[in-house]
Amino acid sequence: MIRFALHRAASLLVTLVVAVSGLFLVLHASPGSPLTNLAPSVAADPEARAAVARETGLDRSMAEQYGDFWASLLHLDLGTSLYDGSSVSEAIASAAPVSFQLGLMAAAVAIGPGVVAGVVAARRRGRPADAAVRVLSVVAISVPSYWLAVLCLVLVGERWPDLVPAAGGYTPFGTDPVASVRSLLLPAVVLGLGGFAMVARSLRSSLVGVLDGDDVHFARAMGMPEHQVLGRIALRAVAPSTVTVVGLLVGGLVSGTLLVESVFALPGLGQLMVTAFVRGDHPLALGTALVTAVVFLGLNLVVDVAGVALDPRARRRVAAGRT
Amino acid sequence: MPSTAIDPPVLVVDGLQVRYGHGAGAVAAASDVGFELGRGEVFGLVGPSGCGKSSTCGALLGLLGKTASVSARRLELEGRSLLGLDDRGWRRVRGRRIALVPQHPRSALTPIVAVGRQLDWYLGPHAVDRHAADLRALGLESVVARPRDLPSSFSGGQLQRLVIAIATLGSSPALLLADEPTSTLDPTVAASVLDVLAEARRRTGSAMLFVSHDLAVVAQVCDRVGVMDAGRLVEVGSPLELFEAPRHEVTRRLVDALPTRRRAWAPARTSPAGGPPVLELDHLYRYHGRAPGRSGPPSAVVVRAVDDVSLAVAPGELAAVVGESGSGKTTLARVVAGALAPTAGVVRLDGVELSAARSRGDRRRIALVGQHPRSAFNRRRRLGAALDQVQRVHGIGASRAERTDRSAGMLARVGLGAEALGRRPQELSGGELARAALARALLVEPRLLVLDEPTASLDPPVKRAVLDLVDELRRDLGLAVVLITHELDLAWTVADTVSVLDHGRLVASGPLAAVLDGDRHPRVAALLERVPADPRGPGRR
Amino acid sequence: MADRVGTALLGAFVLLAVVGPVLAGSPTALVGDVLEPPSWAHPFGTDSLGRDLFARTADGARTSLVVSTAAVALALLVAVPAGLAAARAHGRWPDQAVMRVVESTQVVPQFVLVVLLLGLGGAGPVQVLGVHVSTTARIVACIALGFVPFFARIARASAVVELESEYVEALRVAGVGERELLVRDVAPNVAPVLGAQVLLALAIAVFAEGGLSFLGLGVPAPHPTLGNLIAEAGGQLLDGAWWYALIPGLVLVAGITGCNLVGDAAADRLVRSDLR
Repeated sequence: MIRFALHRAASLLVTLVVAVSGLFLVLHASPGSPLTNLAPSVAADPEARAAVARETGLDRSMAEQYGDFWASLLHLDLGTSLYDGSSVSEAIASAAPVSFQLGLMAAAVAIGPGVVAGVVAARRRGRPADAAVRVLSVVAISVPSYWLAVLCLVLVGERWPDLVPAAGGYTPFGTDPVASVRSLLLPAVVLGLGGFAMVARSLRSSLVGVLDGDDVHFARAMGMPEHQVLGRIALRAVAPSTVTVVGLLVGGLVSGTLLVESVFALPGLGQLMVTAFVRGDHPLALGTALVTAVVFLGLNLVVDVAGVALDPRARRRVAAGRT
Repeated sequence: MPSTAIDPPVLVVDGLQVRYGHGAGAVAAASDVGFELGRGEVFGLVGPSGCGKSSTCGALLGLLGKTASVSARRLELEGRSLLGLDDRGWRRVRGRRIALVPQHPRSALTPIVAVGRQLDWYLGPHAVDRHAADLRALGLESVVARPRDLPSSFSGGQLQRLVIAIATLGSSPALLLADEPTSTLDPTVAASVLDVLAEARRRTGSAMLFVSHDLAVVAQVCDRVGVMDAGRLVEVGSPLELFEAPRHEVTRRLVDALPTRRRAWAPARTSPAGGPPVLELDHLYRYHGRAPGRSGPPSAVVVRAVDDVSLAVAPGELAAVVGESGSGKTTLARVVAGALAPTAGVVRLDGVELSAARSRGDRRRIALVGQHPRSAFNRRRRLGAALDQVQRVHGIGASRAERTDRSAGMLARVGLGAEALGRRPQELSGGELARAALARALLVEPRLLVLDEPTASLDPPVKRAVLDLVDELRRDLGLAVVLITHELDLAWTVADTVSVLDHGRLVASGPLAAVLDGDRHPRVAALLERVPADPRGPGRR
Repeated sequence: MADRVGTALLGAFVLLAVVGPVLAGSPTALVGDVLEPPSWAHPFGTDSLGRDLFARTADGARTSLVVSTAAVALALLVAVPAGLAAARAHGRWPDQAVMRVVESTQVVPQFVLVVLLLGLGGAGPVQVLGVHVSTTARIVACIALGFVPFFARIARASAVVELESEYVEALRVAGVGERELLVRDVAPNVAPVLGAQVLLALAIAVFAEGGLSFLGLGVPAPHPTLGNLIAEAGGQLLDGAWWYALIPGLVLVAGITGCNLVGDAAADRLVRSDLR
């Protein structure tokens, strides 16, 4: 099990290194280098241009820059922002907790109600509750978060202004947990809605399949009460596939923070990345992308390992070395 | 143990109706079914698939689902009506008064929970410890020794014993419902499972409803047999009555389909054409396992699937290759047909050695029909297009119209109408697909036909018909045939020669009489042993 | 039922995108007062500059439709041959190469990847190898690139299943060549699997195009898109201009829901036809 986790981690690390190197190359080959985005007065002056190039290290060979890039990465130094000269690492460190808390709350919104809705729909297949879950999940998956966020800002903001965080009005969890959770409640619901639909739908369809299975039939034929059929057999059987869906949901949450944070003006990683791209602030953009990738891959690793841990057959395959 | 007149019946079914759907679109799966079971009696329910056996069984458990509606004049277990029971009422019956022995033990147990834990669910905590002696008596030492293993690490026979243990150790049910309990098992294993079932019944004194499509098994096990067709019980009688004097046509068809020793022990026909053999296998080997040099460590265990096999098949000869599952017979078929390359050795066709990379011409001369007619065809292509394709790639027929004519002609030969050309595989039955697969193989006019368990997935009457067809075609076309099968009785009804494969090695080979009579190899004797006894003879379990 | 609702929603969206711009006037002309609520003259109301919102929404819907359809088509054009080639070389180096590339694009979620690709190029039109590439074309290319791994994986996986199925072995043994198998048997069976996914991908593409515009990374102003209309409206809502955000948003939701419902129904039908 641990060997499997380490093996997966190593292979993800290799993928990450390849992807980051690719990113580095694209960034340096791209037409949008910092030198093309200079103020006209600076761009016209060759000396000023050269100064900027020297300062940003862009006058040296690609190989040297690449080496420096990794050297500073290993020191957790992601460079300085082209926009205001502040440290990229510090900017990310202050933004990360916001996104982390938002993501966690959104995941809770998605998974908890999603599991309940999926189980209810599967057990009442073809009845009104099932139809309601189906309609709700199609709508939830189809409504774009950015539009819903805009609507919420107004509709909820008018009646319960407390629930809508003011621009940049995030309260750190450490300062006041209640206010902090309240300020992120609405964004978390908006962000988690799509995930809720994914969990509910997938759980419903896999549960329906399992409840039609021979093992459930045998258990019922031998008099096992329905709640035990669900707990002992059905939910256990669908756990691995549900975990896989949670893995997909992670991608949706990470993407969604970009949009939801900008609507609610939350000072998180997503907004930082968008701002960096809009301003052409390459070091900041690269830094946020890198952190996003690390977080995303890390969560995927957790999901992969959990999926295997929950399925004894997969556990045995892994133990036998057939990964 | 026939019922005596004094005992009240355990089960009374009278006027049972099972319908699916509502109103005009409703389909009746069982109509006016009625029978009684005395204490300790075994009643068999036989019939082709879709005849309503399973619906009748499901009605007795109240587990037919919401789309089904069940009605009956009487449906009584031990004098108490099963009609209109609520969930709680059913739970008092299921597992306590009626227990199920399911058809597929492997899927009836949850694949991701240890067997010991599942025993606890049904028999109470620490079931393995408390019932260790009983489990051993049922031949389940492996479960006592490895209760933490998943069902997948036990054999089908062991799992079937395990579900019998679950059904009979917890309580003494008045009625056992055995739903095709041996249909997925090898004959030897099936026989021992039936013994276990009989033993368990002796202990609990349960009556049993035994559902099967296999008349031979039913005859061994049951006191009385009911034959079902299209939702109705068409004939009821003792096994002997049904075999000696079947009154209904369905019964007659089931009896006719039983294997008989039609040409048994007849001296081998001298091949009509004579001459040199069509197929020669010369010290053929095929090992499975990762070859060294590929990524990863070479597999520690190399499976010798085909191990030094030499064989010759004369023109017009039907050579049967018999062996248990895992004996390497399918691998042999695939090597001969060119789907797998031999590890060593030579395949010769008409005296010419075939290279590992077969040319299109070589492939045309050897045709293979696989085990699963359901998956032999591309599911999105109409049969006409599939039959056209094999002719086109071999340049047979000048135009599409000409090829379609040939296809229709060949379908007629195998007993299918030309309208089948416009059908997709899903729209044909298993038997029809087996015939269509034969037609596709024969359209390219091969020298040799390799049949890999062509009837394994078919009902007995269909099995018989397909086999007769093969026999007829090879006589008419002068075709050499290699028939791979695990059923010795199938082989001896049509084959000229028989070869017995065991762990990849040929342990006996020659004309039927030479192999089956006199000084038999122990493997051959074992295979003969497991041929179901003639139902008309004695030998009831 | 769901199928019919989906078809209706998708049909309405396409109708608005195709016919709307013809009926309505210019999406950039100042035709009325600022922030007029819906009326007969301006059925969707007017925006903060006095432009007709029906004209702008219809034009935005057309942009959405064109960009997302083009992106999905471009992605299929690249991904399907790659996926089939990988499946044919199952386990050997061309397969490994394709899968490595696919994996390395999946270090970030799809939408983030598109944002990255767009952001890296900087805003505005660019010259690539001497060819002028408009901003819209770049957006199409970036969304398409985001979908390539998705389609390549599906094409490869379903082609591998086909190539390993029993009927393919039966045909091989019967002398049917590899090319014939791939073109006549495997590809036609992979197509419906992809077809069902195309509509679901379209829903994501419409969402993504709107999201990019919303973030200011999409088709630039003054050209309207559903995304930048919603973004503009966000600033105006508190003035009571409910129609400004609501109507373009509903159009967007209709398009996405329609694609999702029709795509789901297509996927369901596929599963049922395989089971039968």
